[in-house]
Amino acid sequence: MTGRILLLVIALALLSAIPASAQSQLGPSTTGAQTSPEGAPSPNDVQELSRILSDPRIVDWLKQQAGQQPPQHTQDAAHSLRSDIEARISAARQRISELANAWSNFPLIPDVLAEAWNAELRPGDGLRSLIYVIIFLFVGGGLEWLFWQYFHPLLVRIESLRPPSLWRRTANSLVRLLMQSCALAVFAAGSVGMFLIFSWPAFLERLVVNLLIAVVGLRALAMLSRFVLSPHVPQLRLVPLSDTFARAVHGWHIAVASILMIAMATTDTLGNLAQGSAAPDAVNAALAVSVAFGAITVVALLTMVWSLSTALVKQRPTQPRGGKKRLDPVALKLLPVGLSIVILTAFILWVFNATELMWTVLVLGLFLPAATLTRAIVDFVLDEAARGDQVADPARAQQPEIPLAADTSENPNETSVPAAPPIDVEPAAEQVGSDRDDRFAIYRPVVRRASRFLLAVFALFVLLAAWGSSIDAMSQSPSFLGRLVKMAIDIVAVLLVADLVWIWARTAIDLRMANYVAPPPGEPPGPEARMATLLPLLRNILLVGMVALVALTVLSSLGINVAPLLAGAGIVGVAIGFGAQSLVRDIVSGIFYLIDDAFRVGEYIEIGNLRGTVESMSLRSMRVRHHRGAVHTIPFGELKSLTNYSRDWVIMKLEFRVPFDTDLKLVKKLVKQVGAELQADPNYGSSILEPLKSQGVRRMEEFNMVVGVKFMAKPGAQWVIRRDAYQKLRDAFEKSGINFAQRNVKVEVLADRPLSEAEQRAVTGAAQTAVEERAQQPAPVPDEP
Amino acid sequence: MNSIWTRRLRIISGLTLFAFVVCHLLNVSAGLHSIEMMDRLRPYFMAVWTSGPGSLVLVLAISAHLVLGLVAIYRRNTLRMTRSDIVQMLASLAIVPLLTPHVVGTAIAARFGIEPTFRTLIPYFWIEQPIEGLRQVLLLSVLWIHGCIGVYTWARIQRWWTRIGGYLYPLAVAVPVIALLGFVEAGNQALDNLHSRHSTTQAAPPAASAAPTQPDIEPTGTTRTTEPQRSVDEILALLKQINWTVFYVYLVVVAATFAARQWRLRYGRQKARIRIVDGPDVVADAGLTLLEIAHLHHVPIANLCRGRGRCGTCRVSIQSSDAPLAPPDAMEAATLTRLGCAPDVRLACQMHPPAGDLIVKRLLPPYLRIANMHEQEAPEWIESQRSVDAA
Repeated sequence: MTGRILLLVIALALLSAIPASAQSQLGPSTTGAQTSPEGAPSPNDVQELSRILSDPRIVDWLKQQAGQQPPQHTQDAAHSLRSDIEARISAARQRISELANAWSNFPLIPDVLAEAWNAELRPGDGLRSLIYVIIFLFVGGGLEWLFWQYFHPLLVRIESLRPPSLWRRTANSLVRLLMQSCALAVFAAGSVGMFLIFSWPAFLERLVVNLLIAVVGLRALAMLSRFVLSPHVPQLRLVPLSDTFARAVHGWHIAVASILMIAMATTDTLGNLAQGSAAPDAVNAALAVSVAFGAITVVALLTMVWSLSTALVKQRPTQPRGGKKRLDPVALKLLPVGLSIVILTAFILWVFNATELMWTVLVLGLFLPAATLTRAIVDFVLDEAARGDQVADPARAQQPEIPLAADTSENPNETSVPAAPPIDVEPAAEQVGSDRDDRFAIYRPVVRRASRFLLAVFALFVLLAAWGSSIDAMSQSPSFLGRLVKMAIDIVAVLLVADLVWIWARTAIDLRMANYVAPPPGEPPGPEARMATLLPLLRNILLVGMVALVALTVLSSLGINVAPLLAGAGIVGVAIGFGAQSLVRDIVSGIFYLIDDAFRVGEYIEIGNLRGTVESMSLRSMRVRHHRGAVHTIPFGELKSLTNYSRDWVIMKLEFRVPFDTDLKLVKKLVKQVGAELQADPNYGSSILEPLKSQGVRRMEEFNMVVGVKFMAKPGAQWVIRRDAYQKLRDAFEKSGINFAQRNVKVEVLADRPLSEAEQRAVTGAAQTAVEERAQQPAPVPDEP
Repeated sequence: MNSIWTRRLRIISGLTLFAFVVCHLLNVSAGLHSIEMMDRLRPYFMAVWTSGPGSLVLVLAISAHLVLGLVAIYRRNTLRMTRSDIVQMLASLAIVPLLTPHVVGTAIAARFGIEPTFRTLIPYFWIEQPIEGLRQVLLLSVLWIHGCIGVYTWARIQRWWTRIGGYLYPLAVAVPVIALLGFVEAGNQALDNLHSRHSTTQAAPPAASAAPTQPDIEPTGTTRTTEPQRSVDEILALLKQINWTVFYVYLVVVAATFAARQWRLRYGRQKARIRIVDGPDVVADAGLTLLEIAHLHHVPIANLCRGRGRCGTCRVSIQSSDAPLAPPDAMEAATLTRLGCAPDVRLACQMHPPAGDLIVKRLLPPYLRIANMHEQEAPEWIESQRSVDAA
C-alpha cells in the first residue's frame, strides 16, 4: 500500500513541476529560482520545455521512469518545498477518500474474516493451531517458572531489604530489572523455540507472530512500568508517589499497554489479511478497523491522563516537597490539556498517514513532560540518597502524609503510633543529611542536565528515525533548507554538549566556593584559601574557552570558514605572547605557586632578602608587608625560592649562661617546671606543641656554661612564649639561688704585699679595658617581628 | 474433622493423583516415537491404575481431594489470595469440567466395548474432534499447574528437599512439555496417515473424507463384548449427555460452596489494627489470618508451606495484644511444639488477630531460603534488624 502511495506522490510531484516552470515564464518566482540555480534560462528554452512536458507521451514516459527509479526521483522531488507540500496535500486528500470508503466498508469485516479463514485453513487447522499456541505459551511459562525457582529468593531479598545508599538502591533496582528481563527473555526464548518447531498455516503464522509480539511487548512494558513505579516496593520506587497512587498509575499503564498491543496486533493481522483477500474493499475495511482501534487507544490514553492528573491534583496538597517541586497546581492543570492536544493531534496525523509529522508532534509535545518527569526522578532519587540510611524507612516517613481513607476514619490515635519513631530519628538524620546533601549537591545539576541531554539525544534520534531517509536526503541536498537542517543539528549537538560540560564545571566550582568560609580576622587562612583564589580564575578561563570553542564550532557549521580567524588569532596571540612574555610568566608561575600551596594570605615568608606577611595576591604579583610596615610587591615570575615561616610548627632554641658551680640537675628540674607552667597558660598554652625542656650544657665557655633549652610551638606564637619563658626562668633561678653567669675578670696579682688603694684601682681599670674590648664585639641583632 | 488429618488426607490423595498423572503423561510422551509405541508402553505405565484396587484407590483419591478442596474454599476467609493460591484454586475449579469428558469417554467407551487405545483416540483428538484435543491440552496444563503447586508446597518444607529439590525443578517443566510434544507428534503422525490414505484412495468418493475416523474405530469394534450393539453416534450422544449433567451438577456444587462460604462470613466484621514491627501498620477485618492480612497489604512474611501450618516459617512473636488471642489449635500447637517455640510465638497463617490493637514481630526473614529453613533463625535477618535498630 505504501508503495502505491509513494508512486502517487512521485507522479504528483513531477506533474506539479510543470506549472512551476510555466510560472517562471511570467516572473522570477522563488520556486523557479530554486529549481534553476545555474542561471535564468531564456524564455525560449522554457517555452520549449513546457511544450515537451505537456506532451502526454513524455509524461507517460516520465512516470515509467519514476516507477523504475524511485529513490533518485524522491531526491529530485525533495528539492522543491512547494512540490513536497503539494504532494502531501494530495496524499491527505487521497487518504480522506480512503477513510470515507473505509467507513462504508466497515460492516464487511466479518465477511472478509470468514472468507480468509475459509480460504486459508483446512478444517481443524485452526483448533490445532490453538493447541500449538497453548503449548508454546505453556512451555515459555514453564521455563520462566523454572528460572524463578532459582532466582526468586534473590528477588524477594532485594525487595525486602532497605538499601542503605544510593549506589545500593540503584544497583538493587537494576538487578531487579535485569532479573525480570532475564525471565522475560527465557519466556520469549521458550515460546519462540516452540513456535519454530511447529509448522503453521501461512495465514495463522502471521497471527501467532503478532500474538507473540503482543504478549512479550506487553510484558516488557509492564516490566518497565514496574521498574519506575515499583508499585509494591516503596524503597525501590524511582518517583515520589504514594503506594496507592503508584499502584493506580501502574494499573493504568498496564491497561493502556494491553489495549495498544491488542490494537497493534489486530491491525497488522487484518491488514495482512486484507492484502491477500480477493474482496476489493477488504483493504478499506481493514483501514476502518485500524482507525477504530487507534481511536480506542487514544480514548484510553486520554482517560488515563485525565483521571491520573485529577488524582494528582487532589493528592498534591498533602504531599509538600519543599521548594523543589516543579509541578505547581497551574502546571498540573495545564498538563492534561496539553497532553490531550498532543495525543489528539498525533492521532489525526496518524489517521492521515503522516507518520513523520505524527512522530514530530509526539516527540516535541512529550519532551517537556518527559523532561519534568526525569527531573523529578533525579531529584527524588538524590533526595532519598541524601536522607541515606539514617532515616529508617522513607516509606514510613511518607505514610502519615498520605493516610489511607480507612486509616483516618478508624481511629485517630492509631495514626499517631507510626508517626512516633520517625520523629525520634529525624533530628539526627537532618543533621547528617545536611552534611550528605553537599555530597550529592555536586551531582544534582549535572545529573539533571545529563538526563535532559540524554532525553534530547533520544528525542533527536526518534525524530531522525521518523523522518528517516528524507532527512538524510535533505541534509545531503544542496538546497537551503537542507543546509539549514544540517546546521541546526550540528549546532544543537554542540550546544548540548557544551552546556553539559559547563554546568558540570560550574557546579563543581561554585560548590567548592560556597563551602569556603573566610577565616575570622587574625587567624591564618587554611588551605581552602588557595582554592578561593584559584577557582574563580579557573571558572572564567573555562567560560571564555568554552564560549570561544562553541562560537568557532557554530561558525564552522554555519559554513563560515574559521581557518583565517584561527590564523589571525594565532598571529595576534604570538605577538601578544612576545610582548607580554613576562606577564604570562608571572601569571603561570603564580598559578603553579598556588597549586604548590607555597604560601597563603597571612603567612610570614622570606623571599631572597625580603621578609614579611603575605597581604594579598593578584593574578600577577603578591604583596608582602614587612613587620616594620614596608610593603613589597613581588611578581610571581621573580620568585626563585621562598621560605615560609608559618607552616605547621617552629622550634625555638634559647640559651643562657650559668656559672660552673651551678647544680645542673636543679636547672633541669626548674626548666621542666617552667615548661609545665607555660603549657598551663590560657593564652598560648594550646600553641605549645612540645613543652620547654632542657637540653643540658650546650658548650663550655671561658667563664660559664651555656645551657640550652628549646620548645616547639605553632608558627607565630613562639615570640610570646619565648618572652615568658625567659622571664619565668629568671624568676625561678633567682628563687632557687642560681645566678646567671656574669662576665667578670679575675685579676690575679702576684704580689707579696697587699695592694694599696691606688694600685687596686689601676689594676681594675686595666682589666676593665680588657673586658670592654671583648664586649665591643657587635652581637647579631635578630630581626624579628 | 481433625485439621491435621484433613491436611494429611489432602496431601496423600493429591500425591496419589499426581503419581497417576505423571504415569499417564510419561505414557503420552512416548508419542514422540510413534503411536504404536504409546500403545505398547501403556501396560507398563497404566497397569497399576487400571487394575481393580488401583481404580478404587484412584476413585477414592479423586473424591477425597474434590471434597477437601471444596471444604478449603468454604473455609477461606478472603478471596484475595496470593498469586499461587489464586492460580491453584482456579486451576482446581477448571479441572473437573475439563476432565469429565476424558474420563467419562474412556470409561463409557470401555463399557461399550471400544477399547480406548491411543491408536483410536489420537486420530479422534486430532482429526475428528480437534476441540477435544484442545480440551486435552488445556486439561494437561491446568492439571499440571495445580498438581505442581500442591506438591511443591508440600515438598519444599521437607528436609530432603534441600538436597534434591534443585534437580526436581527441571522435571516439573520437562514432563508436561515432553508429553505435549508427544501428543503433537502423535497427532502429526495421525494426520500423515490420513493424508497418505487420501492420496492412495484419491479416486474414492468424498464419503471417505466425510467420516475419516470411521474406519479407525471400526476395527476395534471386533473386541466387542456381549453388550448390546450401539452405534458410535449413539455412544457419543450418551457421552455428551453425561458430560453436561456432570458439568451442571459440578457447577451447582461449586456455587453452593461459595454461597455457603458467603453465608458463613455474612456478619460484618470488626477491624483489627496490627502493627508489624519493622514493617507497616495495617488495618484489616478481624477473622482473617495474620498471613492473609499481611498478603492483602503487601507485607512480606515468609511462608514456605503457603499457609498450611506445616512449616512454621511464618511464626511471629506477639509483642502486645488488646484482646486475648484464641489458643492455638492442635495443628498449630503441634508445629510450635516441634519447633520448640516460646509461649508468645504464634503461626501467622493460623492465628486470627482479634479486633483491637496487636503488635507482632516477624521472627524469620521474608526472603528465607528453603536451605536455611531448618535453622532456628537466619543470621542475616538478625544483622539487618540490628543495623536498622542502631540507625
